[in-house]
Amino acid sequence: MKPLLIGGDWVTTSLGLDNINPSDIHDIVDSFAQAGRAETEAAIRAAAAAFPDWSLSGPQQRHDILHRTGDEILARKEELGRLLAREEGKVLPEAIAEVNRAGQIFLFFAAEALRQRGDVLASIRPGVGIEVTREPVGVVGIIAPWNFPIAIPAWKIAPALCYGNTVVFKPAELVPGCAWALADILFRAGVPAGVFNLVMGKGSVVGQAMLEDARVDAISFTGSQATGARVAAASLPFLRKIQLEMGGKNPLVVLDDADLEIAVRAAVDGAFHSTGQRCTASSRLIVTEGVHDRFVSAVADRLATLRVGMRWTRRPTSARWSMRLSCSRISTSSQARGRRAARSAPGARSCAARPKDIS
Amino acid sequence: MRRQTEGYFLSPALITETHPGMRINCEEVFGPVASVIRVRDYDEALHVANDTPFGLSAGICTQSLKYASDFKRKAQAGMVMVNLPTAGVDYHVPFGGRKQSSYGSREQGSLAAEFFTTVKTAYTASG
Repeated sequence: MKPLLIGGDWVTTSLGLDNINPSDIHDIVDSFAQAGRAETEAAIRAAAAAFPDWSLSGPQQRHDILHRTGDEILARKEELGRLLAREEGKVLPEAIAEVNRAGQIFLFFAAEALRQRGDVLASIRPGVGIEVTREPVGVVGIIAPWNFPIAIPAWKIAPALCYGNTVVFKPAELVPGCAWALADILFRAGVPAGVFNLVMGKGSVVGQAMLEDARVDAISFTGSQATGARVAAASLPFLRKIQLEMGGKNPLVVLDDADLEIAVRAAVDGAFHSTGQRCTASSRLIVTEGVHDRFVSAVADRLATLRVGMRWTRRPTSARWSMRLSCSRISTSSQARGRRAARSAPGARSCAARPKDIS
Repeated sequence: MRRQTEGYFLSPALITETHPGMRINCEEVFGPVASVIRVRDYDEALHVANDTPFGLSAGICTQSLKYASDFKRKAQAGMVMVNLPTAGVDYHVPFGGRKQSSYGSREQGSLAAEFFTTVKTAYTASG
């Protein structure tokens, strides 16, 4: 069982949860300790206790920890990419690219730690000077989604630590593997006890305990609109600082004068790569009349070449547009009901995902 | 779809001849599904693109500087892409949206400091 990280200690719990490979549900990635309310509160207590010293730590120390973390992620990107693909379900090249991005983010914020600056202004009163500086916020709760199991945690954790905050990190329940690997790397990179804490578990338990705790000064959340609204409502009584990234229904406009190849490539990549499970995915293709039929036909042709299957194999270089989609989690209600009066394009499969196919 | 291993597989779906008010065009599916909306011209395309409670990313494919420039200014989204997919962003620049997609300050890049720090204004008299 992979443990939690609380106050610099690796903590196992009586309850462990298996992490299932969505492309092969008989493949168990690993078992992960599950935090309850008590473990979550212990992690928040540890983060609060670690904050005074960490908030006054020097930028070189923060730089070095973030830099070592980024270096190790990049050095292990193939291995971590395989773990990511196995637990999340995206294809291996996308998984390795995501790990690479996580490493780059840590290196970016390592450098930012050395570039913290402020303004010096003259007061309107003679003989008085003014400095405008930035200070850390405090204990930051990080609630991350499953669709980018290492990049999104990286782009929340790296700046939190860079600017002197302490962190309580709750990964999505479906992807504890990358979260644990990241915690292990940070721990060995020298992050002091309590500065970074990992609590895996249910949103209704771990997330709720974070929302209700006055010691959590800020929450950075990426996920659904419904949960985002709960984070906002729960944070208002504390006047807690929040940052919410939620859904999208992103449009891609294609005009008559578009380069058709560029437009088709943008549409297929934007709508269907990463199984369409990106908050920035194109889901509404808005096409002017003059190019509409040619565009639909070309996109349908391209979709017909996509291959759906296991996440492991690399995309064959000979078939540029081939890709494997393995779709682990999807909400089905809107797509099923949205088909009324619409029809699927020839060449593309119809909206074939029935709830029983998806579980 | 069934494949060699027992898992959760979906085929991509392209839904054509849809209208802006349909549920498929109002709610996020979060899967390999896209719908196509036919419009008369750029003005209608811009209107339909913005006619949503969301505002994360928006894209346009055109060879016209006029339309590209207009779309960059008028798209109600935190990120705008010209001749690029709406997804796929750099790590060193701000990430985030507007309307119901996002709340609070931006993630990533130097602007990440806005959320993860609080500002202090200190006055000193030379005494």
